[in-house]
Amino acid sequence: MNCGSVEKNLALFLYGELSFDEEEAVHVHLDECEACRKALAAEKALHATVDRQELEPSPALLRQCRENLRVRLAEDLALAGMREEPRRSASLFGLFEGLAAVFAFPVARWAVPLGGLALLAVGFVSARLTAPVMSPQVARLASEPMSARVRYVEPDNQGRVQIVVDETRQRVLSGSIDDAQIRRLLLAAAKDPADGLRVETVGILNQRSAEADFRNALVHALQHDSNDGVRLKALSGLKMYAHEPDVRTVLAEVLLRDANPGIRGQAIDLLTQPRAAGAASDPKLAGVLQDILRQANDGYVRLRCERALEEMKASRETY
Amino acid sequence: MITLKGKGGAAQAVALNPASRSDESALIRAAQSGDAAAFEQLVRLYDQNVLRLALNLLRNPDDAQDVYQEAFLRVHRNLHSFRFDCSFHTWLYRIVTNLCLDHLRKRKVRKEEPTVLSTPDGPLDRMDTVQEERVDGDPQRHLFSRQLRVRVREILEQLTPRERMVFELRHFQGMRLRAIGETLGTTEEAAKNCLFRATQKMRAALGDFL
Ligand SMILES: [Zn+2]
Repeated sequence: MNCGSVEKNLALFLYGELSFDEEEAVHVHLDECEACRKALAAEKALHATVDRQELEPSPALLRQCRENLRVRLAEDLALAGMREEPRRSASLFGLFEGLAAVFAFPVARWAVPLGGLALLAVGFVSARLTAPVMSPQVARLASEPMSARVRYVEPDNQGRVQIVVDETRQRVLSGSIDDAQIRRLLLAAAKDPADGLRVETVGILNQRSAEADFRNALVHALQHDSNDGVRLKALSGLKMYAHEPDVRTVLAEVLLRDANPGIRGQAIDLLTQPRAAGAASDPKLAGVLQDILRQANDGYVRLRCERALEEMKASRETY
Repeated sequence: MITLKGKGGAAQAVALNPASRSDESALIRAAQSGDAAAFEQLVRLYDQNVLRLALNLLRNPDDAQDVYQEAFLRVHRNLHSFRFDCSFHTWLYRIVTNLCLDHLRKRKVRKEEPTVLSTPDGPLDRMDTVQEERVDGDPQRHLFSRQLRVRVREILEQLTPRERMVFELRHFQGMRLRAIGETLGTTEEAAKNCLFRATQKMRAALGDFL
């Protein structure tokens, strides 16, 4: 080895990353070359300098991290209990393994050059760690159940490109509304943060609002959902049950508290509709309507309350 | 077997001997079957090193804590899919290094506030107020002024995220280049080149100090 290649290799030499033969050659050269010994000393000084840059996390920071993690894990478990964690689908994995056999590509995750493009999946989702690297047309086929997002693109020094992709495995389930798993997922979807998903889900729950678990979910949505559309839809699903005491209680509450006048108006409709047996003599409802009149809501709701009270022959002059 | 520089506690979790490797497998299997205590033990095998890596790469305790939380949450969510076809360390570090690289890249785009601030009294390192650096009694160390430390830090921040990552993993976490390649989804050779470029840049920038 000459001075140039020794100097080039000093860093790897110090890290013990040279092959046995290379390391031997560096030793031999160092024994006879003063200049390279100096260069080695400088390299060691560089290491020492860098060593002192290292930060040690304070015990307080570590403790805080561990405590917060415990909280986050508990939240995560609670969430997982609510929405069934999609497990790896056996059939999907069968598909991967089958494709691997047919196309004879290696079941490995390392970069494989594909006509000037290296596909490299770097990420965290379970699927990635077991999914094989696929040729483009296979990738299209098998990537259907995935949602992927390109996070980063980087050219390498061999004229290829590395693409970092985040992938989320998705799974399609289909089944009857009577299926227990489908029901669980629907009930979880009714509480999902995505407004659109909740609107859709409540629409499905409405079809079977006779069933107790669905009706409870509708009642919950009507009382607690932040989205007007979801509450309105849940309300329409409960129409048939406006005569039942528990639903009436909720409707009365909506009438008092819902921020949306349209929803309050609909609640009055349901509470006072003719088929709601006993509406005329429902003293609780009369009380609620009178409360609303006192609170001076907007004109439309007031008008509806007055009319409903008249129909119930309850006298508002008593107030 | 991963060899480590003599860096005290930092090393323990990585340098597992075969006996403790099987202990680790048992922990993983227990955690996979929902044993929360086993999961916590598993976390504690690695979390100090993970936090140190994140802190040193991101030089910001809040960002380091973000990476810590997100990494172990992902481990928890995806542990059922871990099939022992690589070491758990590699699997975990894929998650951690990806999160850190994301942070570093975002920061490159945002041009975040530097960790070194200029003050009338000379450069002040924000981290000085937050974390203690390794203390060393050797009087010769005093030759290395604050100026030098600030300069080293500036150079580290000028490395590309990948160079920085490989350097951290090799120099501070004591990982072999082959393991680093496996973790970062690249070859040993590519990791070697990154390390080479990183040390090259530092040598060039610090030449006159050394
Ligand atoms: Zn020489």
